[in-house]
Amino acid sequence: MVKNRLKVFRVMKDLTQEELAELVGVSRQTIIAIEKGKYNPSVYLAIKLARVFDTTVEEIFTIEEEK
Amino acid sequence: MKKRKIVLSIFLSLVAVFIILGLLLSPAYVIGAAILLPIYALIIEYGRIVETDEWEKSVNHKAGFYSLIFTIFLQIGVFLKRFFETGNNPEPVYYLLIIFPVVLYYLIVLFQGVFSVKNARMILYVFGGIWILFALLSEGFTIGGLMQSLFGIGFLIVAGVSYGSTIISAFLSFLYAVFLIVFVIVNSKNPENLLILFLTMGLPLIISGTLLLKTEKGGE
Repeated sequence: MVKNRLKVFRVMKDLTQEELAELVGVSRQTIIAIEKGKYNPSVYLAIKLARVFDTTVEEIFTIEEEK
Repeated sequence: MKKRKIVLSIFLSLVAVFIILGLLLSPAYVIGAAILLPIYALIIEYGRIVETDEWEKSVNHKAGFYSLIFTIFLQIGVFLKRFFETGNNPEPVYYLLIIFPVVLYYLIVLFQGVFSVKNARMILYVFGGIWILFALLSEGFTIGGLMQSLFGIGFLIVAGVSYGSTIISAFLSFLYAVFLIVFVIVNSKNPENLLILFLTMGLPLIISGTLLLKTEKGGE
């Protein structure tokens, strides 16, 4: 299962969902879906998000082993 | 997303208008709805009028998948309604309503697979198996049943050859498709049977042949 800290990074950078969506070229709904863990982004989008926050993909997205 | 919803609303409204016109004036208006729906799907998937991002596309694909399942249940309902109304085996068109979306979905999924040769074999095994089962269930272990099951065995032979040579198997797949289309499918008495036979005999062989050819050119 993929967990993410996208909301933490976004708030730290003082960005709204709309602003982040615009920066990475997706809709606000996509950002909401990712933050809620309803959607796992493509590698392409994950890298774009990591670049916005000047970090690595692994810092934002982690794989949680299922029991 | 907002733009997509607006376009979807316009398309669905137009479809509804065509259906209402069909009910009130002439069934010919329903053709308008039948033309509009695939146009909408193609615009959303490939068009540039409405830009859809990856999540929106995944939503579309999920919606398509669940709609397909619902449609199949609906068509099984229509099939059963016809059966209980008449008490007889429903006409081929009722079978076609169920077979068509299932076969099409299955073939599209397999056609997109990376491991082409495995998918080609899967198509051949499944459709070969269906035809053998159909022959034996309808005719039993009689000479007629065994003769009919030869159609399915042909599929299995093509699949077997693919373990040795994919190019020969692809050639055999196309050859068998042409043979079935020329000698079996076009001799079918009514157009509905013709379509069912094409979907379950001709098309699977053409697609498996294409997949095997793709593999030969470096598909796997």
